[in-house]
Amino acid sequence: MLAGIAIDAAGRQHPLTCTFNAGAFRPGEIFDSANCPPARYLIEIGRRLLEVCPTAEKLVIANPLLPMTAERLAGWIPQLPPGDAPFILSDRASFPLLYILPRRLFDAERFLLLLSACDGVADRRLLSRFAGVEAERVGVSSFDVGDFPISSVTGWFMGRGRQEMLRALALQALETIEARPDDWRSLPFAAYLPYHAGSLLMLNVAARQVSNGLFDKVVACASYRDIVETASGGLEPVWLRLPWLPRDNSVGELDYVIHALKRLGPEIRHSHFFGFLRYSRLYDWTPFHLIDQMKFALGHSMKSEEDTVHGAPPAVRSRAALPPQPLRLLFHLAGGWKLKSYRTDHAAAVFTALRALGCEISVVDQPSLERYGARSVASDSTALLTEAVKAHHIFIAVDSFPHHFVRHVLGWPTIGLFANTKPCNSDAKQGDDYRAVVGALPCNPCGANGRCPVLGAEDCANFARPEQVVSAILTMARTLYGFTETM
Amino acid sequence: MTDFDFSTAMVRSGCRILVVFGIGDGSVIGEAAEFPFDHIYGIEPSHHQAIVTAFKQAENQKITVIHGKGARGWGQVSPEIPAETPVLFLFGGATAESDKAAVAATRDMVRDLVWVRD
Repeated sequence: MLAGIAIDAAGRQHPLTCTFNAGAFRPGEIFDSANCPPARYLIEIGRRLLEVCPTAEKLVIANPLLPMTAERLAGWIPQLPPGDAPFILSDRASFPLLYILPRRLFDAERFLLLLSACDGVADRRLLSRFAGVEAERVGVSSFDVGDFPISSVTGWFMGRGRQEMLRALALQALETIEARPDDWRSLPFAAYLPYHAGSLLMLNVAARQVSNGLFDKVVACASYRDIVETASGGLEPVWLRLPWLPRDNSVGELDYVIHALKRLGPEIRHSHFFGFLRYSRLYDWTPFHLIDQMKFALGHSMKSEEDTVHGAPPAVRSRAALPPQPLRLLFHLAGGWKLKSYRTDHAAAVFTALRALGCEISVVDQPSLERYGARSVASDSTALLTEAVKAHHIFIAVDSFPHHFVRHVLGWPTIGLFANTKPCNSDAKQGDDYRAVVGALPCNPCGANGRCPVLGAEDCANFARPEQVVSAILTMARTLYGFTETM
Repeated sequence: MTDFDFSTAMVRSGCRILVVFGIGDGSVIGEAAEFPFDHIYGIEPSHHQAIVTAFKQAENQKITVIHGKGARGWGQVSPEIPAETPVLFLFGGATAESDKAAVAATRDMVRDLVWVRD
């Protein structure tokens, strides 16, 4: 539940209660994006309230982290202070319960993205700066939210560590404003996303589809220069010269963000505002594609299915200008974590069957599969990957960066091999030149990385079986290229 | 303290850039940071070790730690070093020869100084 109340000049209240969109795009639903901090939802509720009541003078918005209805929110509204100073009602420990914001703050809505939504003290200081008048915070001494759960019933992923990250960025914004008292309103906003290749790619593809968004730049790891150069979405990179965050949790994200800010140095820190775009909500909760989740994070309201990857035609489409025989197939079978990788014995079965039908098999960066008749090709840059892909008819890949790059940037015929992740979060629109194949086990998505939480194995049992993969490849080859099997 | 005489190397060869393959616990980089190199690159195959050292040196903009192996790691460094600028390379361990070969494949090392640790 997300709730707000617009208050017009006559003091009339215009309530609005929304739920997270689970795919139906009904009125009263707001897009579910794992990449959005709670403040992005605060902005979206504000937009919806201004649609309901364009003449609103004040907007009362419940903390998006709290499952609140407008009816319940109305009961929390204190006696409104005169004037248009922002107001925060918080619990005893300063966790914000609701914000009362003058409408004018929504004329420069992106500054609201800097609110932590978990530290009323920092947020009050920020709102004072944004509004140019002293904001007020009142704590309810008899009420304590307590420890916000790591994962909430409404899909938030916002344990103490995450809250500290948002707080750190809010405090950084205050430091920046204090360092630049005369021109802070003109500073660029950078999306903080120094994570993995796939997320950087999704952000850039999304940015191509969002005009006049909330961000101007992106903080990305310098080792991914080739991705931004090949698939730029128009966000100017702020290169972070740190290795990217390991996936094994050996380094905490809070520790990383603190060192990232140090590494960027005072000059960069004091000339940018940073918005957190890694997961604030549960990644496998939402049914939407990561590109669409990024579009919402960048400021698109995502109100209809036509706005989505699955509801619109592919932005790019291409195919090989090769004779249909021999059918050249390029596989990428080793994902970013163990459970994403396709089993070697199943790969061997697929290769054996396809070679018997006259196909030529290549694999990306996996010499160990050469013993099964595949040729391993290097692809440790987007240029090399592109070159390899264009020499093949079809790309067959697990849920990892090469898959997303080849489909969403090159538009190449692709078959996606999914297992423990939900295809809808990172596949592409189904068609003659794209198909996602996955098993039917009810444990998908499990959220595990290195070991199956049910069976204990290092391989996921939910990949499609070899015969299903071969069938999908041959069907696409026949349809797109007129391929016929030779025995 | 390590056994490397950075000061003499800098004077004799004019090297102002240091590239260390395999930074281990980061002690060599830490020591080298005391000398007036223009930039120090550390290329480390262990992701965790690379992060730990990078965090230690986060505020020193003259040090860049890269997670990568051989040619892949060097590939991130080489675009930042002009071909004519002499470099002090420090190789070590079982991958010393292959790391050196990866550099030599893309760079004329005639002006460079190469140290190999046991």
